[in-house]
Amino acid sequence: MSDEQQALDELVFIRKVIVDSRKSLGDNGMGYIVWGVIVVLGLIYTYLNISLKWYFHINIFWTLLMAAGWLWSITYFKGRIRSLKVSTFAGRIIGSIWLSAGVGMTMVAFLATFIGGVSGDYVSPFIAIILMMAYYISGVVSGSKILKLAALGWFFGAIILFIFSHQIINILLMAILMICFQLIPGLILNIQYKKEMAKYNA
Amino acid sequence: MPEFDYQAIDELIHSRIRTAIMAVLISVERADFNFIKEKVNTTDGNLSVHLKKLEDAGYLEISKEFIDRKPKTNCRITEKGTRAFDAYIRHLESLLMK
Repeated sequence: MSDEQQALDELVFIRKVIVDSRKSLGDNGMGYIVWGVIVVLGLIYTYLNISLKWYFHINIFWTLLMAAGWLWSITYFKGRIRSLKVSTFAGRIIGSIWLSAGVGMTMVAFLATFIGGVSGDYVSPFIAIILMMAYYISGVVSGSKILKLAALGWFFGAIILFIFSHQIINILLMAILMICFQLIPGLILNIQYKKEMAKYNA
Repeated sequence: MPEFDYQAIDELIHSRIRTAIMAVLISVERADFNFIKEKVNTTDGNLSVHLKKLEDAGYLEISKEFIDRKPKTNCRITEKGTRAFDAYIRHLESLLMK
């Protein structure tokens, strides 16, 4: 074998190993699922309270839900990062995006409801915009089509939520968007991850 | 004398398994022992020997920790290792440009 051929084979081999190593790193979707469930629960509770005129501790309910969500996230992701077989720069970027998006959404929601800096009517569309950005960047960085599609869903969702921002249906629309573009993508990612892990452990 | 200049090439990286280890670690931030083993398709003992050689050369950092009472060995490439691997790739590319 000539030296050039040997060098070329070596480079092809290195490229194959690098591509293969980068490929086998998936998101298990748990963050999307858990937060999706939390927010849908909060939205249904809020909708029932307003439509049935109970007005029964909506803010406290949301505070408890958010506290539970953050507590779960901190505990779960701390353990997960340590136990991961591999960590990448892309994974760190995606983690940072979601941490900042989560803090941003919590701030928007609490500023609106407690301090009144943002009209409560606009909480959902603003959150939809933050989600659209976070999903899009995550989708591009990870090369995930599902996440990019979710971003597209949140883009149109934000427009719809702005249109219906002064109506009670807005709460139900947000819940539907959460199920379609947060819960379902999370479940798809979870199924894909389980398949990947089964292959890895085989 | 062969055209392929083995004098200039990094002998430590120039072995199929060590090249593969370096290629895995250059593409991630950190990887555990089992992940590398699966990617380079080798045995525990063989991988340990080669990891040790790369660690001794300062190309890798190896750390051990316990997670749920199970030992976990993490490897990451060092700055020196990144530079060496980069030089190795450039050397291979230069051979193609001759």
